[in-house]
Amino acid sequence: MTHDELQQVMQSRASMYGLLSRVYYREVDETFLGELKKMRFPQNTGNDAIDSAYLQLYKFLRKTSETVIDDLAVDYARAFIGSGALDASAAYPFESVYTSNTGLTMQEARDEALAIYRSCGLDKNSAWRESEDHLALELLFMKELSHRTGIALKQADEDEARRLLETQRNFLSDHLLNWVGMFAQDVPLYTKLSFYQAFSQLALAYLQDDRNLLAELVGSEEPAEQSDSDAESEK
Amino acid sequence: MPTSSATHWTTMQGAPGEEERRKKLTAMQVQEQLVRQAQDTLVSARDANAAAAAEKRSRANRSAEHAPSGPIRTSDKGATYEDNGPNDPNDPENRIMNPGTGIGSYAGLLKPEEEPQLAPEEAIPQLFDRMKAYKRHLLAVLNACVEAKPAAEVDEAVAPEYEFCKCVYSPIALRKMLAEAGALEYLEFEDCTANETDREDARQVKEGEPKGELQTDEATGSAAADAAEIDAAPVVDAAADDADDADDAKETTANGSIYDQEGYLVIEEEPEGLWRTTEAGRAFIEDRSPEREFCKHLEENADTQDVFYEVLAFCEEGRSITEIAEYFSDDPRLGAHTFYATRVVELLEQSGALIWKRNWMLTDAGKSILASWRES
Repeated sequence: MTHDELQQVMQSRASMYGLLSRVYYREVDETFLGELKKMRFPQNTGNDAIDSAYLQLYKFLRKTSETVIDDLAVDYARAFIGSGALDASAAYPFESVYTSNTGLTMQEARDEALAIYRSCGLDKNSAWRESEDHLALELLFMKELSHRTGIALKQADEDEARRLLETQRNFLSDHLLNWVGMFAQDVPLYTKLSFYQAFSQLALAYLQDDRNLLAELVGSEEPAEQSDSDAESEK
Repeated sequence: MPTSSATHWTTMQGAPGEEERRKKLTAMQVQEQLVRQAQDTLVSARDANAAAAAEKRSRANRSAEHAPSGPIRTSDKGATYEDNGPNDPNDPENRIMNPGTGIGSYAGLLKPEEEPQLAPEEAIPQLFDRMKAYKRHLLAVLNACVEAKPAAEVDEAVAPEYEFCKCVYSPIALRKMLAEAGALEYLEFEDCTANETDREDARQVKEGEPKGELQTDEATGSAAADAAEIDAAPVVDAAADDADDADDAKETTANGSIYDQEGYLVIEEEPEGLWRTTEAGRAFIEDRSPEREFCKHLEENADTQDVFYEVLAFCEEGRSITEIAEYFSDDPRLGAHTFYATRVVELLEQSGALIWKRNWMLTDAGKSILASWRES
């Protein structure tokens, strides 16, 4: 890949992570819905899960009811805030909830995420009241690093670009992919509309795709063959 | 007393500073608080029950000649558990961490049961019964939609009802409720055209339109061919075909999906559909008559039948509720032993004989009822 092509890839990754982050950041509003309806939905990405998620989204957005904003807000509140669930079950979009033994927020994963953000000179906006391991924030972090990588490539700073890509690869495998699979499985249980279900499927498939891309660019942490053989031996 | 009222204010909703305090809590925190409160309440209730059960047991043990011993207990349902064991319902830890499992689980108690879907014949009267105060609004929507109309026209038809009776529900919400009850239906654009014209005619009309518009052919002309039924494989094939055709800016597939020249699905603004009253909704409107409802109230209150007519007669020129209450205050037929005049006004309003337009006035139905009473 040439520098220009890589820059385009980074720009595209930043856009995608930005979109996914916005989905979980807060409820859908008129503006966001309008933007989504202007989207182009690819059908030949080479990844069946991504194509299927896009098709699901397309079907949903193509015919929306006049109460769609309210309906989506209900789904958001039910699935991601846990409103209306007296037994407190929901698909809480926090890494801590999925990775800690207690199933609570503000656990070890949050501390780790915060440390990584700070090591990159980033911190949570004080207006954002959720913890640092919220899915929207983790995706936003990936967006920011993709954007920075694009700038580094533009400035022909390959070392910096490589360092940023390695950080993204590690964050992706150590954090995002550590729990988004479980989260994506939970989302359909707590939502009625296909919107968040499709986005969760899209997020998971895209993250997995992105892990492969980053492995191609900077190599994987562990050799893929070794990991596969380990997995087989465990079976 | 100013001091005590100030103290109360701080604990009341809407008290000075309350909004700011509320804003400081995130939705998650509020939810956590609510869950914690619910759990505390449940734990307290269960502790009280457990204490009562323990007391009962100890009394039984005292009276029994051979008291049972050992840590194994039996719950009311026959299941056994050990003190502070994983299934001990009296251990708050079990309930908090595992609301949905174990003998002491409470998740099953908290999960609201799904209400069964009622047939329109039952659901529509139930909706009107539940929305007594807004019957006129609901009826206005149904009457407006006897002939299919776009949402804006329906809203326009209902708007006058909001002038004197503030409804907390928007016309959109009313339409949704009626649709859920089966009294109203939303016709997609394709359905509208399919209903209005022959499918062949529709295709001929569409031939004159530029490419890229949604087509209403055999695949999209019916509700059965909704976008939800698009198969992924044909779509992908069609996308590949379309991508080859670089001359066309946009192509439509047999499923009504639109692709651009690069094979991406795109959404185009679809013409708005129409709202129409269903057969069940029409039957309900036709079946409903203010006169019949008025007679129903008379039958239910046989001893005070005349009062209904007298209230109508008194409101002929428009009366305030105070005037009505004062006028009938000494009436021996009304009072604590039956009901007050205001209740009669309420029933008359619900039946559609009275309406409030700054004063209580007769509707056309009310005038007709009063005229027949006078004639008789």
